[in-house]
Amino acid sequence: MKTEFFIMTNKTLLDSCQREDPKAQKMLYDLFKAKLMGLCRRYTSNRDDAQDVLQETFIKIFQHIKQLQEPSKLESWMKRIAVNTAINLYRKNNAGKDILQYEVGEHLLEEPAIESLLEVSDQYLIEMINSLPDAQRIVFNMFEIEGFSHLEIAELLEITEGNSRSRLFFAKQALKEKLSKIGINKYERYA
Amino acid sequence: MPEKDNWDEIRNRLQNYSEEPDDSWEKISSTLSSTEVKSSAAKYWVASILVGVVSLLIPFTLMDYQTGRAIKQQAIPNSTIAKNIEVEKPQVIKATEKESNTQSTIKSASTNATKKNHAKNFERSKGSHAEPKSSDIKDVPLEKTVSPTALNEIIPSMNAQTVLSEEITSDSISQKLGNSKEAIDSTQKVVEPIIIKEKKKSSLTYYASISPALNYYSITSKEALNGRVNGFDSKGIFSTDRFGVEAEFGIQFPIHRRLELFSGLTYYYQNQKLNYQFIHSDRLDVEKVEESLTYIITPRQSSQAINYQMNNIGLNLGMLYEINKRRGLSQQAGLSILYQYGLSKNGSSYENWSSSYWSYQLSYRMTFDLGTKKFFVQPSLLNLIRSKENLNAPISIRTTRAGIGLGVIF
Repeated sequence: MKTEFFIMTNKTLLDSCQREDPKAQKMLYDLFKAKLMGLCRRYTSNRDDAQDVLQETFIKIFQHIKQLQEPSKLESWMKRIAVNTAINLYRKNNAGKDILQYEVGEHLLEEPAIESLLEVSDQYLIEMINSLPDAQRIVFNMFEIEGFSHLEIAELLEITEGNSRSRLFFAKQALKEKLSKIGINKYERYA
Repeated sequence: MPEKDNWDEIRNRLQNYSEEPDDSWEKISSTLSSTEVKSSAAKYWVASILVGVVSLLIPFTLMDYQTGRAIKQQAIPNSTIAKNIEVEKPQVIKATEKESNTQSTIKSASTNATKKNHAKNFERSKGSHAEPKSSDIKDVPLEKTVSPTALNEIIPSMNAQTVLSEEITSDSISQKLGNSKEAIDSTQKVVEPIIIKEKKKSSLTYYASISPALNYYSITSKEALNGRVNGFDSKGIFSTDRFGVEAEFGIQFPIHRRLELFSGLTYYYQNQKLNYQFIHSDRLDVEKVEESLTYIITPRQSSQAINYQMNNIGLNLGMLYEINKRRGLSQQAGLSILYQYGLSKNGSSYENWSSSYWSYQLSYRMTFDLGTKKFFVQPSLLNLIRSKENLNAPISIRTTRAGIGLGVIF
């Protein structure tokens, strides 16, 4: 009785991708596509844009993967590329626009009758984030989720630090409002 | 801090959020391959343009080089003549005085002064023109002033490529040397000016060669996604499996008495198979020993081959140093840099198309001069410096190639 096993490590996957092995590239894509799509969905206002950013992200990843030396940093490196690609798209779409206004998105999903955040689906959270204006959504994601400082955000988005803080404030206000609309206005501790 | 907890919850959930995208792998892989092809094609075109530019520039450079050398050739004998005229004048005048005692010293002195002036004018004109003015030449009675010893100094100063006018060939010079006394006496006769003809023969030559070669490989195993290479099948030193052939056509020209530059377009062909043993890490054979809890796990091993077929075009650029030259045989040592680009598109384990190679080549050339044409035999050793191969195998290959070229220079 003979059985076949599949064995693979992060390092060999990286090495093979660096040698432009198509099988390894496909494997890397399959392994990380969902995670990166999740990230792209947070940074873009709709799924189509997220799909475009994801595609461009993977192209950049495979074109520059030879620069990556540490296999342990593979995931964070890929995420950083996805963030940068999303920022580039945002810059391209919002060049010259005034984006300091406080807006509440209109295209939110139908309000569910819920009482706690735990009952809110991930999909609904994403829709909430998506409904934010581009400028606020980008800053919220960068600061709250990815952990960038305001200084770093200001440099990357070519805005002032104060502008970054304002955008974050408005984003949080908008989210609070959205949450309160669905009945979450008590800030409880969720175990 | 309930609000903070709320944001933490949102943060955690968004951080770990994942969503299955529409499958866009086909688009990504096609974009990647088209980018690679574009960059390869760009390199190919850049290389082709470089070859074109070099081919165009070399003849112009050579023309300038030839013109410059011709001017030098014209200038050197004139200055030598002028110098000799100056040096030899007093001797000639003394001889004239000895032979004709009746001539007054005043006449001699005036003749001497006239000659000095002519010599100075001649020197001055040499600076602005390659050839002396005809008036200068006519006024100076060269037959009288140039002594046999001066001629002896002039003749060796002219190099082998200098062609004298018909009036002063080697025969006529010896004849003139024999009759020097007579020539000195005949003050009326005016000799034709020395005209240095520019050499018409170009030093730019073409060469064509064909070179059968044997390839030797240094193969290094790399870590693979699904296993590793366990060993390579070695072939005999002179096995025909190592065979390849290179053809080259190019130009060469001297830049120094012993140095020649050459540049040629090359075509190289080989069709070889490299076999290796591969141990799979993703395929393990697990065998249960009967009636026990013992399992034998063995990684699967397979024999794999790379079809290492090449159709490369390239550019060779280098120089030859002449070690010695004797009776129609010249020996030269050469060093060149060779760039090659793959054109064959039928590979799976190895794709020759768009693979590129940088190598250096050491050679020893024996050239046999057989009249109008020259033939050469050229053993050479090529060593790979850098390559960018489309090799779908967990190995890297460094090539050393030994060949014997047979060629013709025309």
